Amino acid sequence: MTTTNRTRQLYWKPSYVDLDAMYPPLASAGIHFDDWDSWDDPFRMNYRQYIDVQAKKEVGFHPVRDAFERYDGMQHMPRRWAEGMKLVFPFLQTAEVAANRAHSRTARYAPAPALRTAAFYQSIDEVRHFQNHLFEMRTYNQKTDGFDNWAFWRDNHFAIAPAKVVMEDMMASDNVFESIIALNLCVEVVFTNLIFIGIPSVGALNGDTALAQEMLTTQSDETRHMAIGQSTVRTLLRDERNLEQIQYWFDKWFWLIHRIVAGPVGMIPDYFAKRKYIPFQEMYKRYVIDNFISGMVDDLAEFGLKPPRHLEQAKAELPDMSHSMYRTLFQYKTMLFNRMFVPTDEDLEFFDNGYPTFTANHGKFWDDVRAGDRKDLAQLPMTCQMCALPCVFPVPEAPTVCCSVYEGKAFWFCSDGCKFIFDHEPYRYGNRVTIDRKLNGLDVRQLRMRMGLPKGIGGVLKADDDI
Amino acid sequence: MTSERGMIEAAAEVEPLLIYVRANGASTPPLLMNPVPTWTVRFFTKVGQQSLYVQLPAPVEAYRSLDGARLDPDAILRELGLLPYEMIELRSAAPNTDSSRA
Repeated sequence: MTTTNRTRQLYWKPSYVDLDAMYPPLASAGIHFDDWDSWDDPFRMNYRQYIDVQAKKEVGFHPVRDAFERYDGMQHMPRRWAEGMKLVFPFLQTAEVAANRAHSRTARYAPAPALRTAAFYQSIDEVRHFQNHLFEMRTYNQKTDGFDNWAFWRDNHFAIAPAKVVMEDMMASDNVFESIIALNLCVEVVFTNLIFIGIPSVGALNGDTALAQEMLTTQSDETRHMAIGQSTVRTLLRDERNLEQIQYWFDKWFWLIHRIVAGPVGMIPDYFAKRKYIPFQEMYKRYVIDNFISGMVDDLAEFGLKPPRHLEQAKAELPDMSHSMYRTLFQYKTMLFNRMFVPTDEDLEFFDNGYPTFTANHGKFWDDVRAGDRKDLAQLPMTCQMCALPCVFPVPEAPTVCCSVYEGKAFWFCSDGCKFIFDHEPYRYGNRVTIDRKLNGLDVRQLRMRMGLPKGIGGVLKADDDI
Repeated sequence: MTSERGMIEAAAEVEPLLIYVRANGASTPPLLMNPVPTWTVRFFTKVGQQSLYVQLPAPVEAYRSLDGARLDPDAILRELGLLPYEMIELRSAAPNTDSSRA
């Protein structure tokens, strides 16, 4: 054994405490694997190597951000883009903090030493990510409002609170392998290309070079996270006794991450980008359907893994998801900390060209708004018990809301996908209090007071704000 | 005056129900309402439409979403045996309706 290999095996069998006390079996309950010590990490490196690589990445990002700030990069951004960033960065920061804690749990409790080491580095990656997201918010905060109390406001914002609900659920899973499937696979393999490559492309087009560079440096770590997720799944699926459990977690977390990403994030390239790249549904198709489903999932079919159970429902939602979410936020514009705006003729033309059902499903709403109807709603909407998003139906004649009764109460879901998860784990999700129930009885005016939104925050951008 | 005050005080003492309301054909999401248990279904239907920012063509009927049962307009809400957070769906009974303004 070489010195290098010897120093890579820095774990030991404890002599004064039982191994199960150090690594509780609950953390891997139900997962079958013969010899955890033999689990291999595809990215073997020591701490010094890790720091050297990460330091170079930081050197690649911060000068770009410094230059953006020094030369007042925000003046070149359309006003609406900054409003969209008030959704993006609180969303991402929340997700990255939860990811840090999820990886930290894996680093502490995973039964395989190699997995613990890999998760340890990943947890530090996430610290770098959320620190950089915060740095971005600091940059924006110097030139615009809406970022100074974002953490408090986030908890009451329909598009962002779901990120907290879902990601914190992920990090709190008893089984570290559920966290790995949820995070390394469903978030980092399936959706981060969409977020950290797709959105920066739009950002650069709209003058936000700092965001573009920040997201690309974030994504550079995700390749390592993805590799760990894929190798974990392949390793576990070699034992067919793991298939049923892996399949359920895959079905569950694909659906939940799809819900919190597709609507909120979809609004960025479709609405908040004045200079547009491609419709969000095309972006989704490229990065999620073509890259992931037709790539990795097909490869894993040899082990019996099937595509996500509600994949067809996810695809069916795409033509309307960003539009339904935007309309809903527009109807609650007086209690948001970002500003909304009425889509311009150019926006509507882009939607007509990119979304064949846009005019039929959403055209009348915007015609009414342009005719002077504010469409404001005074009370909070029903939010889904699972994904926490508002239960909105782009095609009113085909509502997808469904219900389960558990312990004498009715629970509502936006979709079959969310109901499926609840019905499998009602004991886990039956005590969750949705935001509409938590804030029940308060109208929009009272909510605004409760959130401490100062005058001028929220509402609508004026026509001369370079919308 | 005394009887009106009595009704108001009685209503104030009664814990409100927790019921979602939705209008069929409207894109407005369901809203959580806190109706007084002594309201009739008819009154709830009227208030529900206002809250939903909807005006369905008359006549409007109320249905219990869980089982699809049509609710008697003169029934009192607390006597319906609704579970907490159940949903009542409002539908126009008029033929060929163009539903909401939301």
